[in-house]
Amino acid sequence: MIMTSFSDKNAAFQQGCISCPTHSRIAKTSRPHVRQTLTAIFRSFIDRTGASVTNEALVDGLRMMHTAAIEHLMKKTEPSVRRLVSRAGLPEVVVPDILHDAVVVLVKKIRDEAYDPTESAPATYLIGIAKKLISNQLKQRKSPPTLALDATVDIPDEQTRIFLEGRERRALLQSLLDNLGEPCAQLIRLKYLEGYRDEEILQQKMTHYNTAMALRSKRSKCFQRLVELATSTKSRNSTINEKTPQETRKNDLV
Amino acid sequence: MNHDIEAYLDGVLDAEARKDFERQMAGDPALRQAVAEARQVREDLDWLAVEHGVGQAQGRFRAKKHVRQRLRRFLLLLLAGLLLVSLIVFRKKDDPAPALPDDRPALPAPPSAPAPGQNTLPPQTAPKPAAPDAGERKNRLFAAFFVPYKDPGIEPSQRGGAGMAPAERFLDHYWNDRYTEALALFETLDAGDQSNDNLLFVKANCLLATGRTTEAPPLLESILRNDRSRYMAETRWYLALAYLKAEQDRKARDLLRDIASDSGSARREDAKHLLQEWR
Repeated sequence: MIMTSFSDKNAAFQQGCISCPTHSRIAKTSRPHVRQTLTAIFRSFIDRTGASVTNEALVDGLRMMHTAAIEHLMKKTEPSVRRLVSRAGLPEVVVPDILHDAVVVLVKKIRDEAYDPTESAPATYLIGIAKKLISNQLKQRKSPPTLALDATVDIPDEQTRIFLEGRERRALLQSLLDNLGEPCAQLIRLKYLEGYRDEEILQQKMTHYNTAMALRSKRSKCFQRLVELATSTKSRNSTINEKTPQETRKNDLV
Repeated sequence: MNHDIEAYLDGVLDAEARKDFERQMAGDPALRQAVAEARQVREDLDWLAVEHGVGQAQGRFRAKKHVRQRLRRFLLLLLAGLLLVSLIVFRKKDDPAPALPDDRPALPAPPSAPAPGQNTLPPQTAPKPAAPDAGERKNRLFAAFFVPYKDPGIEPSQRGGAGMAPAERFLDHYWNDRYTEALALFETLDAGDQSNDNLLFVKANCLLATGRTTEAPPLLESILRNDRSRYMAETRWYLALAYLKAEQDRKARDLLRDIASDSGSARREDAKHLLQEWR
């Protein structure tokens, strides 16, 4: 199976499209002009000399997947995550992974409108997520959890659990997407991973489709193909795991 | 049907089409299953989108952090280098002046004003030595400012010779810087010569020149009390130097201030200079 990295394809696509924005994310419920307004608001709060960013602006920036917002959050929380990893006795190399995963969980929670800013600040919430992830790492390494829950927010496990449980499935999906072939991979990527709206795709001529109807029609077929692949791969994996050697031989004869 | 699932999940179906689709779902388990699977894939794709975005941002964050660390390291090295250079420069400034071949330490000897009718003596100049501590500093000051007094009145009328009177020979030794011999000869002089304040003044100079500084002040004080020597002005100056050498600081300073404030004193400028150096 040829594994082509998603980032390579993405980079190739970006290079071929001069007018394409280099990075674009849309929340599920926001419109383009709202996105731009929020980006401008966030930028106005960001001071390169280090002025504080309001939590509200930070949450908005994270919802929009604004790079500056994510960087700001990482800068703010990395020392704490590093301390937690050290206290847990884990190697320092896992710090970037823990930080990455914690930010992913938090951003997803914000995008799903499941984050309540009144409960805790984003950074505090992220530290709580990091602790759960570290505990999970310790369990995987069969080490006794040494990380005591202190005064940080005790977050519900749901989002983190979904993240951890779906890791394998997502890795499979990524692999299937990479091997979906063109133009399906591109159409899926533009909408679901890059967050481009159909109007933007058509306006900026990111594909060879000239009408919204043609674009959506093709993409739907590609999407359905992806779903079928994902479903069949999942059931094939689970079927193999469940069968006994005798049952496997019996099926082969058929 | 494919189009309908994505459009349905996107929420772009009009009201009638959505109701129709939901009716189909209600009666078709396979469609319901397909919609659930599509929903799951969309959810996973959203997770992937977030992971991808966060990964890109983290890459930039780590690159910036790396640059910051390198800059911090560079600045620390620069600071250390500057500190080292400053220390070296500072130490060089503190180093003492190189030692002079002449035993006598060099301070710029102030020009002494000649007495009326007397010839001027050539001034002696030398660089100023460093005094590591107070005592050593006073020694250096003394050495810099003390010059055995000479004038034509002290110069012997004849050089050498067996025909010289003892007092003459005493002066001859003094004039030729043979201070120890001069002091030894003084002890052989008769009582009259030994009580001669002018000769006592010369003797005091010999004592100062040979390091017998504690013996000089009583002689010079006696000369001042008697007030009959022609070297009264000089006597005050040499007494001040004797006090300085003997570490009688208060007496020395008081006397030097008196001399410095005496407009008629030939040693006024010398006293001022010494006080300045002694500060």
